[in-house]
Amino acid sequence: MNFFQPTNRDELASALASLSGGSIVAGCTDFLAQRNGKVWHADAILSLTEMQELKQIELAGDSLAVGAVCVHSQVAQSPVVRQYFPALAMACSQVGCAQIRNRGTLGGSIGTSSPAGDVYPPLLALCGAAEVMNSRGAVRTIPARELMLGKGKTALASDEAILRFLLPLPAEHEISAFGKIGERHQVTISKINLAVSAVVENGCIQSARAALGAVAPHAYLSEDAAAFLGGKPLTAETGAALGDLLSSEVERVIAGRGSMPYKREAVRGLAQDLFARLIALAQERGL
Amino acid sequence: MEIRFYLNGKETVVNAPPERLLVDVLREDLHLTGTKRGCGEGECGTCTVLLNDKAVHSCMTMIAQVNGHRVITSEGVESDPRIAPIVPAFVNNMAIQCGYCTPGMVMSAAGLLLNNPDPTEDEIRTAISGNICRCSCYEQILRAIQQAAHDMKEAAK
Repeated sequence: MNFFQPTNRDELASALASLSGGSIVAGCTDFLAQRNGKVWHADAILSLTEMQELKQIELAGDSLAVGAVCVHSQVAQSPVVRQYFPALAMACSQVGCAQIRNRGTLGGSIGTSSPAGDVYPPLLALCGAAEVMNSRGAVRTIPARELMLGKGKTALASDEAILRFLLPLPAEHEISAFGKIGERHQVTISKINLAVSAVVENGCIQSARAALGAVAPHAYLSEDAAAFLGGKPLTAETGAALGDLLSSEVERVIAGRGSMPYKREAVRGLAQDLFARLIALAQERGL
Repeated sequence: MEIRFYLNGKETVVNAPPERLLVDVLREDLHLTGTKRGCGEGECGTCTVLLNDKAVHSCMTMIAQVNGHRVITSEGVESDPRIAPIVPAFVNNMAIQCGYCTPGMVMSAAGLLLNNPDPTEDEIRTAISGNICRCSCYEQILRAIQQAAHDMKEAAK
């Protein structure tokens, strides 16, 4: 079996060219979990774990570039992510358990593209984009909303790997938050998750984006939620009203599903919890 | 494939298929059976080891991925002065019944305390939330880790 462990972009491009149908892996917290107890064979595996340049969190123009091979714990603990992109830090801090957070990567979460993934909703709410490279070394940028094509399928070609995620630096009064509900309090796959980003001034939401996940085949930005939140006060009442709106939306989006009665109620609590976090954050920052 | 890495402080060489799981190399090739294989999918934590001082699941790490890196297993704790106090802390707080979860719990504690020497109770609970104890020693384990944190801070003075 061909096992590639590139350490720079040239080696990565070369490995991508030789991969022909093989798997790109990093922390393997999904890749190996999926193969547990099964006899599996791969002709080729490309491990990104030695690509140090893809483990950086640094400014790139007016964006923050978060390397695709950054592990969840690194992103959750990064002071600059916590300050400017709290929704992403919150999401990463709640993926799996400590051991998974020390190995699982942002790029891996997007690459696995589970409908319940916790990284995609903040990426959507924060208007992020994926910087992607192919086997010829050509780099392109894919906006978050164009990244997912359906359950388990991304917009990446078979010879492409995600290099970094680009997050535009937030406006001065912009805050964000993330929440999830699962079967357990911790170490749980999301039954429903939500990321909200909002520009807040004098206790009033000027504009907002809300991404709902674990409902549709992939997380998506709710246009109705964004339209509703604009101009509303940042209060618990607005959070409850958001919960009502999302409840109706969940009822529509997964009308026939067995989990719908549960999820249309769970989303109310989730919206309220998330709003409590946003309110606390706004108070901390004097907004 | 030849893999060279530091195992419990010593340079170690193994020959294995690159995708062979670290837990299997440790247990079957190197006969270090402290690390357990409880679930194989990152749910139970009994396979926890330190990789570059961070707690990870050895059941979801390929041996090729530790090439050039540092691994510490439960067998290496007592000879690592940074984390050795964790062992007597577990013993003295009766944090062990059947012992099956113990290596994983000790390694999760080591990963926590190496990166956060003064954890709150919540932080300790979070650090071991990926380790299942079927004997339900959780309260004693929590106290043991609090004791270890205290003892390690004293030792550092």
